[in-house]
Amino acid sequence: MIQYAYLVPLISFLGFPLCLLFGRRTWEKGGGIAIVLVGLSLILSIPAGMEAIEGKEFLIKLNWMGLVGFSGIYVDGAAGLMLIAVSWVSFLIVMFSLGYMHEDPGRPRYYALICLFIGAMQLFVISLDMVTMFVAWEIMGFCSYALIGFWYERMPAMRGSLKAFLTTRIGDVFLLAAMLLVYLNLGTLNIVRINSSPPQLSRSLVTMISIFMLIGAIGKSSQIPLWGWLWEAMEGPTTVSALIHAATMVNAGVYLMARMFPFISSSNTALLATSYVGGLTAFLAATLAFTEYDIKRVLAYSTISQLGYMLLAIGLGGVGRGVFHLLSHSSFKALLFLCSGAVLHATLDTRDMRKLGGLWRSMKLTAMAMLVGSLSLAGIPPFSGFFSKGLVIETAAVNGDTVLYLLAAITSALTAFYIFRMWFMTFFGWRERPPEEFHVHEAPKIMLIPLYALVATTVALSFLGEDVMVQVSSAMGYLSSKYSEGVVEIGKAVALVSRVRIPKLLIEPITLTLAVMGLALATYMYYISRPPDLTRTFLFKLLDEKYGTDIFCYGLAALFREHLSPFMIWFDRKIVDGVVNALGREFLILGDYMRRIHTGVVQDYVEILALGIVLLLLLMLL
Amino acid sequence: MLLSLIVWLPAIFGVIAYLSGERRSKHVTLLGAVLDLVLALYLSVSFNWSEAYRMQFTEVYPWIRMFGVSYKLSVDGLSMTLVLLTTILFVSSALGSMRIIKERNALYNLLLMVLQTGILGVFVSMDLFIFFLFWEVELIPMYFLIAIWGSENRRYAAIKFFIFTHIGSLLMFFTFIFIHLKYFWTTGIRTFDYSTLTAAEGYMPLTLAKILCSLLIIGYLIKVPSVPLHTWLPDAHVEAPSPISVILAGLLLKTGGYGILRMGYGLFPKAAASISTWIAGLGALSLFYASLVAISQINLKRLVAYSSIAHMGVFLVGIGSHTVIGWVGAMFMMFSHGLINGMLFNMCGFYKYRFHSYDIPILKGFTKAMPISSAFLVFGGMASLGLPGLSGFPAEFFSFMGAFKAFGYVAIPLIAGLLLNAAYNLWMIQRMIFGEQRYEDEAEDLVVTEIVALLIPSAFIILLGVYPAPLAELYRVVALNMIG
Repeated sequence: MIQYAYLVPLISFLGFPLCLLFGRRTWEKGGGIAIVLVGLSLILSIPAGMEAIEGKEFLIKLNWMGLVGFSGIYVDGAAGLMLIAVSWVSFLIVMFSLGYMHEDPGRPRYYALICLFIGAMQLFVISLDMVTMFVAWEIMGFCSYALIGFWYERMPAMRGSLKAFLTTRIGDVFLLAAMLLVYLNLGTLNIVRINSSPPQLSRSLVTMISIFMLIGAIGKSSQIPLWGWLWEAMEGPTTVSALIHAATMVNAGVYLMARMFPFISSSNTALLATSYVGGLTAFLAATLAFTEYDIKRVLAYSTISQLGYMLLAIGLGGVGRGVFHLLSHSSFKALLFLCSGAVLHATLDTRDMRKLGGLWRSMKLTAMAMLVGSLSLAGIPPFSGFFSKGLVIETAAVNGDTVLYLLAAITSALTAFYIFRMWFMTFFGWRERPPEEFHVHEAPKIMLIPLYALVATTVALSFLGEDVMVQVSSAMGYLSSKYSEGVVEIGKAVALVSRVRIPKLLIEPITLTLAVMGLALATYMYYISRPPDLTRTFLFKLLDEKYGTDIFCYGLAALFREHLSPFMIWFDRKIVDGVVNALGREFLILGDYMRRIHTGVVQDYVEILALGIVLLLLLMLL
Repeated sequence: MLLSLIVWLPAIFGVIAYLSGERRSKHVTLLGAVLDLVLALYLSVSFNWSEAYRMQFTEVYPWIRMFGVSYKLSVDGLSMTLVLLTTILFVSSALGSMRIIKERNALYNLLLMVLQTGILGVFVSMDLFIFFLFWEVELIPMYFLIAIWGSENRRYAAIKFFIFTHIGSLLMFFTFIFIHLKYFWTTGIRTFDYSTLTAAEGYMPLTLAKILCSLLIIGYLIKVPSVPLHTWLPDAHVEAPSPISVILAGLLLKTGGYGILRMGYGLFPKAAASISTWIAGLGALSLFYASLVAISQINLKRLVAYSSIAHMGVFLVGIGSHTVIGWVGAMFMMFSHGLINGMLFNMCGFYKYRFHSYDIPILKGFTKAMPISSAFLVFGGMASLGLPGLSGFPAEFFSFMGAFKAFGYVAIPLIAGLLLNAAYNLWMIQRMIFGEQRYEDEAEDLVVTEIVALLIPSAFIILLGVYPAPLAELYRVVALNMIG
């Protein structure tokens, strides 16, 4: 089946024109088309992916762009694994959408874009070369833009979508630059060849290209300092958020780093940068969730934070571990988002957790599903998050320096705290029962089935635990010969500060203790006692301002829109055009003359035209 | 005969349209444009793509023997694609004119079709004299099309356009005559034949060649246009009726670009190579300057006009890199930009027809009322910002590749231009599409002729974006031959 892998993205892409053209006339206004096509691509991707994981490889080349060599797709173990994960989670999200988007009039557009989005991610994970990657990458950028701004008449949606596209675009142009540099210096854009070629290049060049790739990943995966777009991306439908966070988009950045790791690993600077960006983001994003009352934004910060973990692991050589965390995060984050979608669906889109609370009575099934997701995110055994995050923290302890380890370990406590703060505030809280006007109801079956399918995935991933990790690592190709235990001996050379000394046996218990402490504190603060009001403190304000990110973003945008560009318009009109007009004043005499000929009678013009042509002809014949 | 037929068919139809009266002239024009498109498609199919560097379909008839002028038409890969682009855009423009042009239809259509003959002539003539004649022929109808059917400030814009482009023409005329004489003095043969005169550079000192080449290229840079010679363009666009803007942006600018490649680099390969860096520099300046000016434009059409300048900046960067891959990008950019901006200008016309304004605050908020037109606008904006999968991407990719190859690390800051490019397009879309929705009586969605007018270029934008290789290969063959 692996030879049909190229059909997987194609089938999903097909949904784009079909939904746009015929969506209006079909079941669920395109939902039927989407679920069938995404389902088909899932059915195809499972056997194809399994064969790839077992060791088969498949490659198709096509001279797509001309001049820069062949583009194509390449399915190896890593790609196969990702393909299955992406298709599976996407399928469940599309299924959930059938219930969630049931009343929206814009469904044809919604399902068309969703299909394009999923297809682009599927193409991205199996692409052979950087051009194909970049194409898929940019299509995802566009889809996220169009879907975040799906409710285009809403002001925040409009800001969020623009911010998302422009911020990720910063990363994109750097990735483009990396691509151009790679091609000009290596003469190929084939990923496999790029990965085997760093010795040919000078060290500084490798560093530069790697850093450019990292900036691309930072933009896409919403890391510091290009992280501002992800929380404003919450303005789209919740299913879109789930798709962006769990199946597509943000994972692309991490996957890029994992895919290009052999190339990047020749530059210590780039690795150090990757792990520090990851570690800092993991910590800082987790702190942002403390003061957030928007249920979806809490999840957004948690995504940013978990993506930071993944980059941290990859930067320290734990590529398999990073990708394993990516997979496990996909399942529980999709779960969390879909649960929040079910909550929003039941409460007339109320995202402010202070207005929620007390939903437990009427939404037990959703609450239980969300509890599983939260436990997994918090890293409580036996759910998958415990294993995957534990492995990341272990990488930080073994390979990283003290700062990185501390960031990673403390973040795990913070994570448990904020996610249970969210869970308690939503389902219990100080409010006994939710306001009457909500008419709270349990989610319909079409939404509950995907929820529990994701619960099953999360549990399954955790029971397979280490086995899956080994599988992932070997699929990524880093367990075999070059590296031991999926961890490279790089930390020593590049660590900024001294390395941490913890007995390996103690790492896991410490992590777990921290997580439980966070959980307990959240339970005390938001379940047992009434939530404290901290809004006046300085720390709260600092966090509420997201360390100034938003001020900076909007300030920069305003600088361009309100100062630089108007100045340039003025300059263009008054200075450049002014000079031209001054020079042309002589010609204005000609202008007066011309004005006199303009009698406004058509015949005159034609005569003049004819006269001119005759004159020209005469001139020629002479 | 095929080339002559393609070139003169529009003019013939123009005369028929003029004679067939006010009401029927539109349909005659459309028929002529479509027939010409069919012929151009036939031309591109029967063209030998693998030998695209070779001049094909040559027609030579001696004309003014005294000066060695001959009527010589011929196409290589570059000319062939531009002929195709011309016929595509004229169909689009004729469709776009259907509702917009309300008075003096017969004359309008005559001028439009004469314009097409002029532009096609420029792209296929391989005799400098004929080239110049066609070049002038295209100016006259363009002048009248702006001056008669334009909006309030049309006279100013038309005269400005005329004077600017005429300065370019004069520079070109002077250079052509000089080359002709130089060749005559050296060899004793009077000729205006392009392929013969390519040898003329060898007969003059490099400094002289450089001066001539610079003058020639400055002439074309006015037409491209490049900052700081661009100020005629926004005025001309804003005042011109939109179907004419389609031609102006889509094709007249391309005659400038074509001139740089064919005449500048063709006649003075060495001299032009030595001033390439300047061309690239001007291109970079145009890209940044025009993008910045475009960001806060309130007038939609002016915004699109500045986006033209920015894109032609990328074109100049590609040219100035003087590498095969950069040239492929530049040529690709000519084709792609013609389609994209042609489409966007048509859109401007459709908005103006409904709301009598180009101002974004007046046009915004009709997404619900006009879903089809909004979809096309988003599509156009995405194509313009270079979204992969649409034709703008390969053009930018190859142009920048050329720049990186030629200028190394110096070229890296150029990619910020792409960011600005995205910024003005996205902000345009944001202001037009997003936000509070309005419902007004005039807000009828696009009608069939308008949709077709947009669909034709859109189809090519998608086609070239989804599968760029054939065109890129074609241009590679051409560029390889020209750069050597």
